[in-house]
Amino acid sequence: MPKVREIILTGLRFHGILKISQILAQAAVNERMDVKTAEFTNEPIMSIEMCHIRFGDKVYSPLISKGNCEVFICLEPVSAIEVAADYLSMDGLMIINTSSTLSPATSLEPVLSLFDQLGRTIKLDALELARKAGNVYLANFVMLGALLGSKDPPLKIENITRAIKNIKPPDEIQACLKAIDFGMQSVIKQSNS
Amino acid sequence: MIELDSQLISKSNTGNQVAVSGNAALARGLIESSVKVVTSYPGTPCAEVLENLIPFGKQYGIYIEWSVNEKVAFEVAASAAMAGIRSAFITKHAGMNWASDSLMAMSYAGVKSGMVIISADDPGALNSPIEQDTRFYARMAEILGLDPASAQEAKDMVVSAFEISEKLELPVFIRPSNRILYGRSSLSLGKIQQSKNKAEFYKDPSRWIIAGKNAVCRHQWLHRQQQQLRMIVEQGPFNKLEMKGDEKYGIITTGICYYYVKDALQSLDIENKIAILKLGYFNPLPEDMIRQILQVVEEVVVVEELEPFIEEGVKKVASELKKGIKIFGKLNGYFPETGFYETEMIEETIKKRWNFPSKKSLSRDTIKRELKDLKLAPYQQITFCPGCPHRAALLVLKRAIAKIKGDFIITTDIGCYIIGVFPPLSLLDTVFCMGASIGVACGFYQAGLKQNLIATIGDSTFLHAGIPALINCCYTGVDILVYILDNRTVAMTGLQPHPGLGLTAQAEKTKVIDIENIVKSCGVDYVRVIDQFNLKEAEDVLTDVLKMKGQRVVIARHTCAQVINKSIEQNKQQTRAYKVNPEKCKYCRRCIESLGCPAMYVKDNKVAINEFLCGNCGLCVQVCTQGAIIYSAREKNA
Repeated sequence: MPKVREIILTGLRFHGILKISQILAQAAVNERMDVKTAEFTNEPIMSIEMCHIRFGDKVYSPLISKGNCEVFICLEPVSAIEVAADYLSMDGLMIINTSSTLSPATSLEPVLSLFDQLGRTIKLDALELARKAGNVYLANFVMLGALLGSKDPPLKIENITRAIKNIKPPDEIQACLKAIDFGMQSVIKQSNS
Repeated sequence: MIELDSQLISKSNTGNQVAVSGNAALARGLIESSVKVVTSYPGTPCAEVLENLIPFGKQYGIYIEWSVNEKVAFEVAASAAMAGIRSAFITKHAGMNWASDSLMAMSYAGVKSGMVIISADDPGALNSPIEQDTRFYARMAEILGLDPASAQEAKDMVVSAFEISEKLELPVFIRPSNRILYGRSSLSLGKIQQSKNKAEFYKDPSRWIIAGKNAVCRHQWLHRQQQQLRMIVEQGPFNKLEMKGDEKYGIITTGICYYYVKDALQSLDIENKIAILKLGYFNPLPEDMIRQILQVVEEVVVVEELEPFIEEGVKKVASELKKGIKIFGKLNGYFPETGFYETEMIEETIKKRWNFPSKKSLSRDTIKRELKDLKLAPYQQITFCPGCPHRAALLVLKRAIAKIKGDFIITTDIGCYIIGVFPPLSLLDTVFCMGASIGVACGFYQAGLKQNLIATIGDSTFLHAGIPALINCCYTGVDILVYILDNRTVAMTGLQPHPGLGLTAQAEKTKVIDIENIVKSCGVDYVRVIDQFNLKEAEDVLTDVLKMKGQRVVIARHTCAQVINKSIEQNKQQTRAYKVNPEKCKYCRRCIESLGCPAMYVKDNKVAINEFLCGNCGLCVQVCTQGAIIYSAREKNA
């Protein structure tokens, strides 16, 4: 059976996860792969968005079956844990932003320790890294960087960069790439320590 | 999201591979087919077809219109095609109900140039008040119906549909579903055709006067066309029969479900053991194709979302074969009759029905139990955006009602304001469909209910469907307050313009259709425009109006927070946010409990405001009795 890569992204609307799904999809096409994504979104209403991304030699359905997700990326941990419990495969990886927007004050510890029970995790403060890259709204690109910095990254960085050049005006590209780099470095640092 | 898709579909060359949404793929199909008139009323999940087309309308000479409602939109598109110009009408399923009146008459007359109807269905009602199956409209109107399984097929079907439509002089109906429209996939681009069609109207009363004897004659013509339609659905490129000829079991499926079936069979490792018939056409049903698979297999599972449209057809064909074939689907409880489908569901049914070995089960029950104990539920609640004018409008209404201690029924309409049904406002009593708020209130009044009646309706919804109902109120003397929540946009579907704004779909200036003047000419007794963010004044006005009799209209006018955010983003403006002074906050929670604003949270027994989320509306300042909320600078916006 040819391998299909299966990634889920979740976040709140303003985290801009659909932009990342768009970049991943275009990068997959740039690598001459078949790709399908499913976007669960509720346009302008404040709500949790989710995106399934599947790419490989041949992709049938855009939906990832429960228990099959290989990498689960979440920008808002509190809202994502239940979805992760449903979809993550037994040997799956979770990349978690530790700065919650929905509950910045309540302790995240119990939620984060549950993530650890679900499987392998990479944790990073994406909002803080985004701020360092110049803009809190780049947290989505930090998470994309974390994916690329993880073991066995699914796509080549040059194809991701090519896709970003399609989507962002030239004056914003540098900041996006910087955010990606911060995400990557943070993950590499974690795996070395 | 739309920006990139639009560029990819408009600039890329023939044969290029791009990854775009199903909506963008449909838009590309329209460009490739050299369509010249495209109309719609904004509705999810297909509003983005026009959004993707609009930036390039001028380049390709396409006239694009957000019409006042779907009936008008259909008529504009259909008559353009009668005059020899290729056209498309795009609608969500519920909008098809509006257009159906015109569709039934105009399918008798037919078209001169190609016309495509794209009617998006929404299994699971993910983006709609209801989930209905619009395939029945193609059957009622006796026109060709296609159901795409992917974005690629959706685009290819549009191109094919125009050719068929032009050849048979009949509109063609394409029914994509939400899962294709909201999701991206690789798309191979085709050639952009050049249209040589010229606008010309041939006067011919026997064709264009659909009434009396003419109607019957044209209905006969429509029936004669069916013969050709039946040939097209059997031979067309969108059906796919995957069968070796010795299979015991078969699956008949359509649309996106085809790919769920493929994944399910792959997961069970039985890909070569089951015959599959994937239907691309649903009206008329390709009965010969169905007969082919039924002649081979002993048992067949039918997989389709929404109504058992194909399943019933398969049953009919099977009964003619007299072979005792067993059919499993919705009708005998093997699949749910409602909601959207997933791969797992199909895998489960196949496994159970045909006894294929089961994969090891994956369960994380203990963790799921712990999650329940954590009580994360409140975060899933749907609330108004920070800065939303509907929050303010419904808050002042709630306060005015509390003040006069009256008993009210509040009917509402289709728009973001239905969120007012949830806490903390918990204000609304009925929601059905476009314009129903006022009509339903009329019925409640005539039934003799003792409660006072309030109908809340949005600006675009009022123009779409509220006007006749308001006239009815005045004509029949209903005591009612019609509360028009005018947020200067069609918000729920992605901020489209409407006739009240003086802007066309293609962002050109046009006449402003003034809601206040319309309301006056409907014959109401009282009309007043308020700004709901001035809480005190708005509350006083509503308190007075609620005590009156007759037909009263209050227009709460304030621009949608998303529109404001968008313009701030575009102009790269510096914005400010509100902040709580913890020394002054007495933690009475009045702000949190009355507003339910997602930007507010609790920190160390004090209220705090998330500057990332704050909508800058200042409602909390007016609600706070301690003067604890102040203005502050915030970080640069992206």
